[in-house]
Amino acid sequence: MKELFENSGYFGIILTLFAYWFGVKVNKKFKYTVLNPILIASALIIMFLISANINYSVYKAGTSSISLLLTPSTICLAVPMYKQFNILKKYRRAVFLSVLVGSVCAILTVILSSMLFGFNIITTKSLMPKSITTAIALGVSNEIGGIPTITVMAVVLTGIIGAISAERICKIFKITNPVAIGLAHGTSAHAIGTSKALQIGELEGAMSSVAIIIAGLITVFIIPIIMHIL
Amino acid sequence: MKYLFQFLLICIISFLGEVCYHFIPFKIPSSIYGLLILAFCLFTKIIKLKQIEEISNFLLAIMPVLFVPPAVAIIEIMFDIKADIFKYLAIIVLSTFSVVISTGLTAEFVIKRTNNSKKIKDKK
Repeated sequence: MKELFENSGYFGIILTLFAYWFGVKVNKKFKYTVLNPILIASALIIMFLISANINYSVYKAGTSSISLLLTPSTICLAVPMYKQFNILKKYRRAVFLSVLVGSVCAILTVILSSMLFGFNIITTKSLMPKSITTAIALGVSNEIGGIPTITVMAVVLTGIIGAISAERICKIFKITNPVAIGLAHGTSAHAIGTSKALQIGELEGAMSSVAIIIAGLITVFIIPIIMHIL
Repeated sequence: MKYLFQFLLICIISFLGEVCYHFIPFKIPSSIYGLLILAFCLFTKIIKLKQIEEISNFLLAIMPVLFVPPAVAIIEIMFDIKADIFKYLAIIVLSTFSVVISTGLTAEFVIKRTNNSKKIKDKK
């Protein structure tokens, strides 16, 4: 059985697709943000790999063919940006300024608190892109020498924490404009925050999804600059 | 044929992203160059939305699945980070809260200011 898994070209893909499909089902049924499909799927697969005594490298090799699709998928993020260009143009000043401030803040708080906790430079680098969408965060993490797996986990946890708390924080700080609320969700908690913003309102959701891509692009360009300064 | 052509276009752009990555000495992932190339082509109508719409819907829909294998890799470093797990959580919470606050307040401020200057203009 173990050998079959190791030699099969499809078992890793089936396991991944099934686990994710199951995660989406659970998420839809219980509607808790904490029950994120990526978290559920990876927990399931980890349990399976440990109980079947299969090495991660075997699983990784088995899924390498679908991982190839990551670059084309990331490129397609240009499509929602193109579709929402009108709304982006209408609020361009608010979008660029606030997302720029938020993205710089995300990186600086990570650097400062990592220094405070005495984390090494590689861990810090892995956490730096944690507020942006996973596809871009993974690319950035690879590029600057972080550990991609820490980045993915941090991105997902950031999304969950942001989605749960952003609305309440906005209330406390008297952030009431729907555009501002949407931008705060998208910049802090990417796609997971956007699904929450969509529940608050249509304009909030649209601004949040615009913020995901702008925050991703801004972060790609400012991380090398910040690293150069430090 | 339609799907074949759409996939071909996306693959060509992926390749062009790699070409940019190879020749431009910045630490920017090739997928970002690709994203910018596709955005440029869409805005200049070199590529029309309907020429890539189905393939992009498909790729965007399956994208989260692609994050599962790197997330599973946590088993390889689980023992190294177990001791620091609360530090990680503290950093994530602290950083996320400050991003919400800084983004929200900046947007709120900018919107109020543009609205005010519009009102002044209207009065004139």
